[in-house]
Amino acid sequence: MDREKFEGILEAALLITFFTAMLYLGPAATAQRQIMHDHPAGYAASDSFQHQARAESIRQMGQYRNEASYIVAGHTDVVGFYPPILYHATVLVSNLAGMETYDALMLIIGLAIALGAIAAYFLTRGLGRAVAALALPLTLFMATGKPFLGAVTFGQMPFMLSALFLIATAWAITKLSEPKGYLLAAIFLAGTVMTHTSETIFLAMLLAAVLAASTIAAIKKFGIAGIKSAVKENRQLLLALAAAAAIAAYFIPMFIGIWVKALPYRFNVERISASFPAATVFPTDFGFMLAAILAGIAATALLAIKKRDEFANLTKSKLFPLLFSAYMLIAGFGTYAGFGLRSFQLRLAWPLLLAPLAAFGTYHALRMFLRIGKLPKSSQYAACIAITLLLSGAAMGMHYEQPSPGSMDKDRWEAMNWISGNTPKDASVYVLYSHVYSQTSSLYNTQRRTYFLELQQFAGMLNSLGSTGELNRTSYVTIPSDSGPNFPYRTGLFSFDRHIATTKTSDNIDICSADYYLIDKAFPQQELTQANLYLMRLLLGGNSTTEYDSPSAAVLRNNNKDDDCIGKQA
Amino acid sequence: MTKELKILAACFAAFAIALKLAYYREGTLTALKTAAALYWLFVIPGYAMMLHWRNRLGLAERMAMGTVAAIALTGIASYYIGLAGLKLQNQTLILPLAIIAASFLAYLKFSARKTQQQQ
Repeated sequence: MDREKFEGILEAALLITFFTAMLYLGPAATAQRQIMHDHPAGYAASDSFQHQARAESIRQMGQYRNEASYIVAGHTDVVGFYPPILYHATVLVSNLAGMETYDALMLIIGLAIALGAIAAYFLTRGLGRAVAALALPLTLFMATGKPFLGAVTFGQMPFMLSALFLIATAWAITKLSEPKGYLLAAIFLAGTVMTHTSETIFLAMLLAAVLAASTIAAIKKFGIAGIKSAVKENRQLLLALAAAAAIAAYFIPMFIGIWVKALPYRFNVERISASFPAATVFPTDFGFMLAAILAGIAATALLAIKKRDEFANLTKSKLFPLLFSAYMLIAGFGTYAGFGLRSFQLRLAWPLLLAPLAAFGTYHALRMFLRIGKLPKSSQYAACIAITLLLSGAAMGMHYEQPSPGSMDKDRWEAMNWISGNTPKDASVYVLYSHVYSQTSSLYNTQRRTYFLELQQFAGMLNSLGSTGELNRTSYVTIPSDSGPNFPYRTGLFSFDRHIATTKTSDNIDICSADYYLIDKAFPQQELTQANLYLMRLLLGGNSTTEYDSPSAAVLRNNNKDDDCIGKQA
Repeated sequence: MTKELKILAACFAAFAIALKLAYYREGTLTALKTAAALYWLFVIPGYAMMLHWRNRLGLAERMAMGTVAAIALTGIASYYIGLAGLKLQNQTLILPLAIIAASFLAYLKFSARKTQQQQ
């Protein structure tokens, strides 16, 4: 067997092993080792339910022109504003494999994570097979429950798929010299635009710097005529950008008209994510693998000095994967420069994005301390694979944390399904405090208008009952809705206005004005369970009837709507 | 090409086994069905899309990156086709088939042109 064939077989075996390991340690652990479930498994926070419910609404509508009314506070004309790729891919898998959208969504995210490791490998492979193998240990961090995979299951799902496209775009940029190579870069770049656009913006800043470096170098060499030369030199990259813009031409005006206006840039310094404090990633989360990243930075800096002539045409240089990786490290610190959540998100994919740096650092450390550079090529590759396996074992042994199985359970899920399947479309549902439904986007699954009684108001209601003997019927409630982009609707093909000024996302609501009640019956705290059961008895005493019941949740129908629906206290 | 198709089939088996190993509490039939769905939607279209670079990139690289490209292209196309009126329920067979057919035709066209240029 010749060396090339032997290395090819080793490479295939290595990639299959890592692909399986990523699935096993991460997504499959979250999904409790099952592909299909009778309730959403692994969904740990409101944002993740938001994506799940939106995917399900798109499955039911068959397209994504507008948002489902129950996601946007009852409006029927709110444009489908979220980047659509993840949802469409999810619905296609769900329809073809005959699985629920919540399972299909988790499966796609699992695949994105595992494929992300493989994409990082191929991005690094331009530096050699042996170096690429050393990229894999860091990618395994993506499968650890805290902070990486945990944050993804907390709702960073579109980001995760976009991060895969981001790495793939970097890979495609290294292939721009191939015939029609720009097509691949265009597809991947359009993928980031239409999955989670902030990654496109980070990449655009890097590409702008690459083009600027190329133009400056050309001007230095040829004077003003150098601009023409730089355009010619970067023709494939410019073609890729133009083709990506053309592919995403329908969505880009929506991004600018909706998202940029709703979430404009504001300078702010953040050390810990305000949105996801528990999911803030720090370089120290990589443990001893941080040394590999630091070594990679040093080795890249030395290489960049040595090959500074190649800055004139970075996309054709072997430096590009390393500079891309180093740039993503810096972009992750954009939290100190006003990029806030977007930079914190980028950190979540650091195990994939920094893999080329870590690989290069490890390789150079091996060359320096173990002299592997002196080995024959095949032995060098085999040695790097052995080191890869050792590092992976050590990294996971020291840092692996089982990911969360999520917060939803069968009974509470079925209660919401009962409401969506058995109540009038215009029914309103009052949801007493629940530690599970407090992830309020989960309530979109009732597909009805819901009023959620938050813990503080719930406590206030109980206090008034205790002190006056009367239940204070009117409380301030949350009306779950995706209000981030301010409920945009079209006023023209690419012009939008917003419903936000006239839309209530919380309000004082009389408990007796609701058509149905959704009541959580099982809390970790016995007092809360007793309180909810007591309120349930009062509602039943006020002429409500039990329509759905299970050990964890019940649905009551209010037969005294807008009248006195509270029974006498026991 | 025949050799590659055999490898593609072997990779399907490897993928189904990987799914079964990771999700070991799931039934074999479900693992197979899931692997088949993902293969039809993303892996085969991805392989077809990358045929153009058949002589430039290795099979493993084409399959992996092609799958990623197919997820992006399928998602984008599905969105636009849905807006144009073809519901998602009707896209699962047509869309991958269209990508495979278009990619294969493009491959044949460019291969023929290349052969002509060489002659």
